[in-house]
Amino acid sequence: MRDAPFTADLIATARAELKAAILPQLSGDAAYAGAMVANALGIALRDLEGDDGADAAERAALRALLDCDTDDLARLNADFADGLRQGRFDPGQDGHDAARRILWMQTRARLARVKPAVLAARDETSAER
Amino acid sequence: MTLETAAVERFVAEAWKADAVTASGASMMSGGAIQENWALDLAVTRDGRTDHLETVLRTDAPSSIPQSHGRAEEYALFSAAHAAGVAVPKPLLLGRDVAGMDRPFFLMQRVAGQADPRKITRGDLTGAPLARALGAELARIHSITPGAEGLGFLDLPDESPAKDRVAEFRAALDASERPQPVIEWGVRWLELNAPPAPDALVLCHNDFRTGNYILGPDGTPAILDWEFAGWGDRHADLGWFCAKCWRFGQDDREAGGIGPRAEFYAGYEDIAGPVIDRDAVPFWEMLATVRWAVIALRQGDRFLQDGERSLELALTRHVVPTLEIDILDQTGELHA
Repeated sequence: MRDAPFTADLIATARAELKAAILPQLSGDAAYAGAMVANALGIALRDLEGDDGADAAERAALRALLDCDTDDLARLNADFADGLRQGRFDPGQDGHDAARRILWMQTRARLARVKPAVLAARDETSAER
Repeated sequence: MTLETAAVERFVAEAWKADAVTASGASMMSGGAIQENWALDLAVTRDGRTDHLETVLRTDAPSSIPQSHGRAEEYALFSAAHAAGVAVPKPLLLGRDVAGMDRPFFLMQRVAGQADPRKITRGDLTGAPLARALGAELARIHSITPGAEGLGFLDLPDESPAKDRVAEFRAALDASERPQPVIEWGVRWLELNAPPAPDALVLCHNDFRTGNYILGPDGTPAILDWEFAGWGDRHADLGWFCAKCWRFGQDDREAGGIGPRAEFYAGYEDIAGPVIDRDAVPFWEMLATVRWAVIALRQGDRFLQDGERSLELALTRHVVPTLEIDILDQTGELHA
């Protein structure tokens, strides 16, 4: 039997070590490669930590918009993309506002995973307005 | 990776009828996903006199992406640009079917300076003069029109430059395994808002942005990376250069992260006359954002679908959500 799962902690610790002990020693192409590795580990870590129910919320919203009862998120998104292409959610159409909300929901969830700093900075700016 | 310098020496000696050519200092410069660039110094002896040339040898990378021209076509574009007075590294020689070289290549003058967009946008050569200079260079590029010598290989648009892009983006989305609703939304917006074909087609560089010119120590740019050039709408290049995704975080410098938009336009119109339709540019900035998202998606698919284990390709995929934010922001402002 494997020991207690500690994958996330392991990656977090490895990433911290990389940033503290290794990256400062690098220059040029190696520094660029090192920064990419740190970035990739950060994305992997947030992937491991789960999605806080983002997929479930997206699924529910898409099922309501498309009036479709499948649980297959990829299928729902394929239908959504097709509807967008056919103009079913153009300005003036019934589903336009709901479609727009879903697109924002999807983008925020993706951004939270790969560029959380961009999302945080954006929310801070809009709060100041 | 190595460069067959002996083959290059023989080729240059024959092309220039030189008595002797010695190549030295071959080293791979930072290459792209599409091609490789080698620094190469040549000593060319003719009639008892030896000239020393600092050159770049440019050749195809082992893997490249579709829609980009090969080296022979790129050499023709460099030559046409040079003839039109565009600041480019001077094209020297094109090598096709050269004995000892497995891929076509060309030689051009090596220009000193900085090409890293993050360093340029954070450096001390930014500002109004650079924005004006780049506007002027773009106008010189656009002075090249269909019928120009040596560019017969470039296709004319099918329907219109904008509608052709819509078709191209949809084909790219269909080739990707995962649906992309936000990009589809952006493409649909482009379809609904596409301008008609322009009155005059010009040579568009199609990748004219910070990162694709070398900035000399005196602040003079030299325009690189011609492999996507084609006949199109001048506003496409203006929008690509000014799009938020090519400002490298310097969002208040709307011209390429390096200077004011008004100065960029002014430099352009100094050369081309008052031909910029200011209201047309936002459409092309939106198109630029969608186009970069489609390219980033394709780069990511090389990792996800095609099994190319490159960290850079994988991370390029992760540019997409920031572009999606820009797409949603821009359609929000523009839809009304």
